[in-house]
Amino acid sequence: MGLLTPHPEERRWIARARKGDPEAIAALYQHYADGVYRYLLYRVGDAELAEDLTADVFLKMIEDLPRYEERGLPFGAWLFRIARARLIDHWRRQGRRPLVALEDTETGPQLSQDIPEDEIAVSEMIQRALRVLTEEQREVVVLRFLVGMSLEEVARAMGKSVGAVKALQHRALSALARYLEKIR
Amino acid sequence: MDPKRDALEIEILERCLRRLEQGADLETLLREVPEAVPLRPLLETALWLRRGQEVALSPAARRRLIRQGQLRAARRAAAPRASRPVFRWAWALVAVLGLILVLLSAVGAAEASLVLLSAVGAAEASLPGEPLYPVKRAVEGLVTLGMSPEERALYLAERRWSEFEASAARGRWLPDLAEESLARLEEAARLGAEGPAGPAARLRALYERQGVLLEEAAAVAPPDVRSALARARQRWAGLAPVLGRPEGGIPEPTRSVETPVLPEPTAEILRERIHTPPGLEKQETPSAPRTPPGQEKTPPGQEKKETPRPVRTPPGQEKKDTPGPPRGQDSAPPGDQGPKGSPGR
Repeated sequence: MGLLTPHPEERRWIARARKGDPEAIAALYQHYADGVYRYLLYRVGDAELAEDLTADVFLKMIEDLPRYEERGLPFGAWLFRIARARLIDHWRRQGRRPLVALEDTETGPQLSQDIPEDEIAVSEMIQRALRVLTEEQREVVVLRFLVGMSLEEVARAMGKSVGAVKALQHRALSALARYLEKIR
Repeated sequence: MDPKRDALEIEILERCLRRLEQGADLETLLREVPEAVPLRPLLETALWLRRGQEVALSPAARRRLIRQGQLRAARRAAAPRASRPVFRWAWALVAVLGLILVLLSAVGAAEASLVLLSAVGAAEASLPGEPLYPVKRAVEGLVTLGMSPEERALYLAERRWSEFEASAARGRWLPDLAEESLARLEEAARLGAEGPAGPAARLRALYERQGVLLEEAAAVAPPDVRSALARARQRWAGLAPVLGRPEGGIPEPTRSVETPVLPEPTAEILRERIHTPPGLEKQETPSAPRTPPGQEKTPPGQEKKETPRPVRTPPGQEKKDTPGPPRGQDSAPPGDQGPKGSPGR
């Protein structure tokens, strides 16, 4: 399920969550938590950190919920904005660029530093592969193929034209295919 | 590179990706769209990437997140009720300041009085450790001069707890403030602020606010202050009889939630989360998640979300369960790929 796919009951959940209804809050979490977590996981490459950031995103959602108004912006898109802002804030605090050069990551993803390569799970292999991409290519790949957004949703999220995202997507898949061919 | 050819290839790629998203089979697609054959490695890569969508929060992490959110929402709901009465004393503060101003003006110290006014205003928002905090406490002493002992105790309990909340929101957990607030609350309750009118409601509201945040503190406060906060929570629970509540009574918003109290995320638990094989996680889930409001049954696809976070696959199982990256023309379709090794091989 994509991050931006609304649930039919979503409006009711939001109205009830605004009043602090714990079950409505749980429902919003159940529906959106995995999408937000996946986005953050593949952007930071660390499961523990992604989980912490996901918690932050949802706590911010609780804080800002009274101010949320659906004016053409779906709840998922609003939540995604929070996630993206939180991610940028995290990078800013860390004082480092989001893009990690491949040669700087010989140890691989954080969860698997000591794990033999033949035991690395798909998600970890993907995290490793994503590091060959530029920042923009990585964002496109994560949103389109790992979070599950449509091309149009990706373009809207990144503030780019659909054509620009298509081109980025093509270059990113080409780079990943070359990388995978090389390491095979 | 030919820009026109590139543009055409980009369009073909997008068309094929959409077909794959709709469930088309890659081999069939390539037979139907022969011009996409050179794009096979890219399409296989896209299919391989989609396997990353299987990653989800572990059931335990999901419960913990939900619990945190519910606690935060409960705190938000409780805070405005409790803070309102504090403003009743704002007039007293203004009156005292006015009196001081008049006196200072009378002796020709207009400038000094303005400085004083600014300092007192700024001090109101200060927290322990900040330069103006002593000013805040001094003014507080003046404001409470005319209050009855039980009103004073309750007023100070609320003030200290507001400071504790404000500090916690900035990531500073100050157990001393919690203890002071609890001591004042107990004092207020014992002095008889339990009458049917306002004070009783304020006492209960403050008690609920304290419970919510102290419970959250157990999960999120840094280890160095956690034991002090745990003692504060014990003290809080011990106050329940004084306030006529069941011991350790938890604020209402959390009562109907099927989220058991979770253990601290110890290194052992973290290791377990990382090393549990994907197929085994579901067995650990004690029960199905509670049905959300207005939802008769679990939404489609929700069952899948109970799959674990990225985990290490144990030797032996990996080759069967974990597909490798696309292998180009000679490889099997991604869904069938069971690479004998990882990309690193």
